Amino acid sequence: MSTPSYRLYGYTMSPFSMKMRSYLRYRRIPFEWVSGARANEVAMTKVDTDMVPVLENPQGVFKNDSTFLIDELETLVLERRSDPEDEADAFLACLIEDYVDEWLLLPMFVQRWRHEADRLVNSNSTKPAALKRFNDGR
Amino acid sequence: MKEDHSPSMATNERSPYRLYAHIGSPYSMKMRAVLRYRRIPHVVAGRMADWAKAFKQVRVPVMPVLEYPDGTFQNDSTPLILDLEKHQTERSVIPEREADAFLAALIEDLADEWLSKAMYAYRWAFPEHTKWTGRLIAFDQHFGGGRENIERFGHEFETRQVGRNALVGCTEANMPMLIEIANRVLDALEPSIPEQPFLFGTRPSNADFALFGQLCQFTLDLAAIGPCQDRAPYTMRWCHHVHDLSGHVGEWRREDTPMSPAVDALLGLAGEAYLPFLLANEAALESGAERVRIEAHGLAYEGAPFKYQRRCLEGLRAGYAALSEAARSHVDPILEARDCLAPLLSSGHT
Repeated sequence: MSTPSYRLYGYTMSPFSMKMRSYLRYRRIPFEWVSGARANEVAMTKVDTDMVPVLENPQGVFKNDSTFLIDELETLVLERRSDPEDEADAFLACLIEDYVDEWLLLPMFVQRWRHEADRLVNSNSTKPAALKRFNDGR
Repeated sequence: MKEDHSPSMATNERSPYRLYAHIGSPYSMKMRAVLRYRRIPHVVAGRMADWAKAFKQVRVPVMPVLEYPDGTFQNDSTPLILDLEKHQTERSVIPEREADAFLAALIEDLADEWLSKAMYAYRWAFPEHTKWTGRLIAFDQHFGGGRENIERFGHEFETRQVGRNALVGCTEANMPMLIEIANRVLDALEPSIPEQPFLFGTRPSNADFALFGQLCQFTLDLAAIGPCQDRAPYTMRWCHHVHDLSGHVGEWRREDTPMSPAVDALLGLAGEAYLPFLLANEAALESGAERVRIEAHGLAYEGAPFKYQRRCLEGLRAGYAALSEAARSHVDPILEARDCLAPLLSSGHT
């Protein structure tokens, strides 16, 4: 059995975790995906900013921030790099990555949490019965 | 777009396995999840253009196909999973206790052959959704192929699959039963999953992966998303975890750990409907009858007999017959209580 060299700690509902997981898979960099309480513990204790995803490298060093992590892996692993090879395209890709990470993030949060607030208010209208049970249980 | 067929991975010296698979195939998702959980290095060839080579190498051209590092090809997820157990022992998906392994095989079969009927119904028997279902699966299979191609292939695929509805028992008359199968599986799992996400301990088995393969389609298929999310939100979310359990570590249940109530509920479904269906299928094939009919849960099911499903019954009987006395003493009362024992004992004359 091949032991994966990296461990990625994150959640399926974390956009940056999904960005990193998809990136590692595309790049064929062997890793273990660790979610749940352990991911939270690692984020709380192994990095300064308490944010997932956290990547543990083969030397046991923990780092986070997906853009930074990707930049580092682009220099460490040369096959199947995701940076466009044309320098101008690479800059544009960087700009779009930043736009998505920092600006598309905002509607992501709105979509996630505003609707729940709506459900709390409109308790008998459109919300699915199961979500109603969650909310009623609070 | 080009698919890289280079034999080596960037950071791994051994050739990886190559899984020819796609998102809309429940057995593909079952296999991919097993490979990930087992930490078996692999790449996924997800587009139809890549599959021709693989289909030439197997007897029945169905997804998924697994290409081994030595360049040989095999398909059919159930024997593939067993074969991988021979190649690698760590992180096995077959429960370590013999009795549990048999129950897991029975539940795997129930998921693959019975829950799959509900999956097909949700996918292809709701006319208001099939146009987009066809397009979305074509999008997967011709990823990057352009809108015009995708919509043409999608229409062809939709026409073909909807045309197979009657053949696979997906008829208007069977719809109440088909939806009931989905509901009963969801109801069996939903109370247990928050307490104990897997059936035979704190680690996943072949039975969990088989259920996942079918259920993860309910998170994709347009007619299924709403009702299944509403009925079983934790089970739907569970699917997103089972997609990648590469970092999950757990143990098989100990002998003194109670069996999951979900196992009992699923065996109830097998005893009430699935095994009677397999017996009726076998009887129809023996008598030359053109139709298989059963009644269960107060509902009717009627469809064509299938030889493959007779082999499933034979496989389950062989598995039961091979059990040790000690294992039988464990499973017999459990099977008996859920009407699963008699169908496993004889060859069609219970």
